[in-house]
Amino acid sequence: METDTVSVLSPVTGWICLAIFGTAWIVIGILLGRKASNLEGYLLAGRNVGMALGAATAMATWVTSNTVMLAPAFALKAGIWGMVAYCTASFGLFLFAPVTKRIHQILPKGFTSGDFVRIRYGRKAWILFLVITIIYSMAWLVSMGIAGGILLHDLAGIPYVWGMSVILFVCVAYTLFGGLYAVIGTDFVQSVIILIGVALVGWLVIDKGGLADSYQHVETHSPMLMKVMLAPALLSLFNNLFFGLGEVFHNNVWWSRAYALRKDVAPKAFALAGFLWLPIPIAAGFIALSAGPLGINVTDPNTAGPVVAGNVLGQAGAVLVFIVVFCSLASSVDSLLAATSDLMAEDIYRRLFNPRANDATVRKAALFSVLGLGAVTWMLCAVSTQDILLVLFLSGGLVASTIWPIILGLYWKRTSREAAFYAMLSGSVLGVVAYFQIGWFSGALVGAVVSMAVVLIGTKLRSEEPFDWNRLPSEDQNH
Amino acid sequence: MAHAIGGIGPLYSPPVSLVAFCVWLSWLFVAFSSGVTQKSPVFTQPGKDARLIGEGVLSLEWKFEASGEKETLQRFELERADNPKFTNPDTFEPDQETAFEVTGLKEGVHHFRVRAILTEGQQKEDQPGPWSETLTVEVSFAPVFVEPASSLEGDKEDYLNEEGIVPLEWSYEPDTEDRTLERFELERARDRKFSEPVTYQPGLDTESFLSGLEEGDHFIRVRAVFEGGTVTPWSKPLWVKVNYVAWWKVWTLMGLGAVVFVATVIAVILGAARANREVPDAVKENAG
Repeated sequence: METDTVSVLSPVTGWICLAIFGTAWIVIGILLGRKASNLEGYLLAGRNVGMALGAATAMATWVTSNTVMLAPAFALKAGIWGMVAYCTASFGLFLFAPVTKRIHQILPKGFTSGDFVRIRYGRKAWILFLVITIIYSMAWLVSMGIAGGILLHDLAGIPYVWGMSVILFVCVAYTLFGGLYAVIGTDFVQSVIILIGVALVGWLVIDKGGLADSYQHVETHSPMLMKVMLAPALLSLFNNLFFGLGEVFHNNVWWSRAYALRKDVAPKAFALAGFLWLPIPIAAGFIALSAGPLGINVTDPNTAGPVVAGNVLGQAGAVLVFIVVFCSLASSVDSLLAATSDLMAEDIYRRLFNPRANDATVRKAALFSVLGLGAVTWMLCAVSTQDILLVLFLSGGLVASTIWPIILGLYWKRTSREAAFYAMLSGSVLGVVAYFQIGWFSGALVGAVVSMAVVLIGTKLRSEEPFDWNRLPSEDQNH
Repeated sequence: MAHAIGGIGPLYSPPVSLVAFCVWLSWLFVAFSSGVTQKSPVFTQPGKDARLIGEGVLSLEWKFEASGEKETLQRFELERADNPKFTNPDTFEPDQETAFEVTGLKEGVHHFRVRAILTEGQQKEDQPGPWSETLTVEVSFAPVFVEPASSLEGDKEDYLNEEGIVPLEWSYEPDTEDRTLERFELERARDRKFSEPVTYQPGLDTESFLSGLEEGDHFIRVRAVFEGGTVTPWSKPLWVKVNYVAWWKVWTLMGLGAVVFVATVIAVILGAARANREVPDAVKENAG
């Protein structure tokens, strides 16, 4: 006899919430999109985003479906250390904050992260970088579509394919109409809802379950979750840290925000976003750990957080959880759609296939990229689940291998182009090998370690002409 | 020793070897044609190491092909026993059908085998064919773990894990319609006798997820609780062994991680500090 977990909300309520918020995002996107009169406006929101919008968009983008699903799962699987491990992802935002200043300094007219790698390290490293970032971005995008479908199903009984399709449709629509203006504008509203929602839900759940009861229950039923010496949790600490660092340092989601934010506010906005994001995995983790004393059976740790919160708070609370989940999904999907389509239009279309393309043509390419990405993501979400999630976890080694080449390339003119290429290549390959041979907790860690060693040793051994910083702004302006 | 070898030497002279080879070949021919290689039936339903939950009714199916044209199938012979050696078996005669429904099976492990009874050519005597491979079926009126599945032998752990987590799923079919299922009850203990069990309440779900288990052996069992308080027997315990990752591996990876993290922080801080020294000329001019 199979018993399905009963949804917290009725499908009708779920559809009403989806319709209201989906329409709201599209309307906001279209209204804000009117500002995007040229390519810079469409791709980078006119390079004039201020502190409030900047911090909000960085924070909201970092609250992904992974935060909603994996942070509670980390707490359930790895306890206190698991929550701390997940929080280390905020280090990516903290450490990227000073880097944004450097990006403005050396690439004031840059468009993508690919621009920097291409000019700084040459075509070979750039192609490898594009492969890494496209694999990762697609896996991240598809994983969020899948997570969205699963969460909407578990919370409101909306069929997986319909829930996933609506999320993708809404995000594609407003990104298409409004570009980064729409993404950043909706991110602001979404980040306010997420912050208030998570704080409120966390407080209500802990109030109902009681911290003492939660501790007592976990101590009896899952004793190792409260122990300091829990091997897999300790291992996940640095792996997660480097995964987060790699994601932020290489991905165009963050670089496009660095370009879009005003030079004086970018570092502060990223640092503030890190502080705003930091408590969210802790709150989500505590919600999941409250399941036991509240008498809620966890069947799937990945959906435990929202399902527990929805069950405990009744219909009104469940609507709040549903809205928070929808906001967190939309705020990340739109950012990835916008940033990855920039990369495809600017780096792949203009740089690889049509160097003479003018801004209007590139903007068209960006529009088609958003549509194409949406369609491909929908197809992958509809046909596959586990394979894509595996690709996402595997890509930890790939993204972590870019950390050191990016940092050294930004600040040290003697960093070798060849060494940077081989650092990314060897870090990626050995990171994937480590994932399979040592365990899931080692992919990003090994990728970062190997990449650092190769780029440092390679630069030391290989004598190349020091990089001329003047090439960055001059070549970047040759659009 | 040399003498003894010399003594048997003539046996291996070429003509004798040829005769011996022909004799062996003839024996092979006779052996094959007289049905030594006769085929046995093969069970097709249920699968290997099946579990039957609930009513104690088992539908068996098998396939059989006679090995020669001269053979005629008379009937099948089906045996059930509670031991793999088939001591004191129950015998069933499904005639020439390749399917049979066994009813009234009691809780426990049952072994089945089937063979064909044939006649060959003009012979009138029955020739029993070889027995099929033994099919083992567990009948349980209690819930049965399907994920991870508990083995029928029980001499090795059912699930080995490095992270102290166990995703659980079980099957349950009520043996009677008269009772209303109220909930399942899950217990975990460090010994097979469940002397100090920890109880979990999965409600009506047939899945659960245990985590944070201490290193070593754990035994997990589940039962159904009905309205009014009646319960099914406990399921066969699931034996879970938790072996955390070796500490040398943990400290090695953590050490490497700490070194690279500190180096990364230093690189960003140093880089930011010297950023103004390595800038494009245009930036220097603006700063000037």
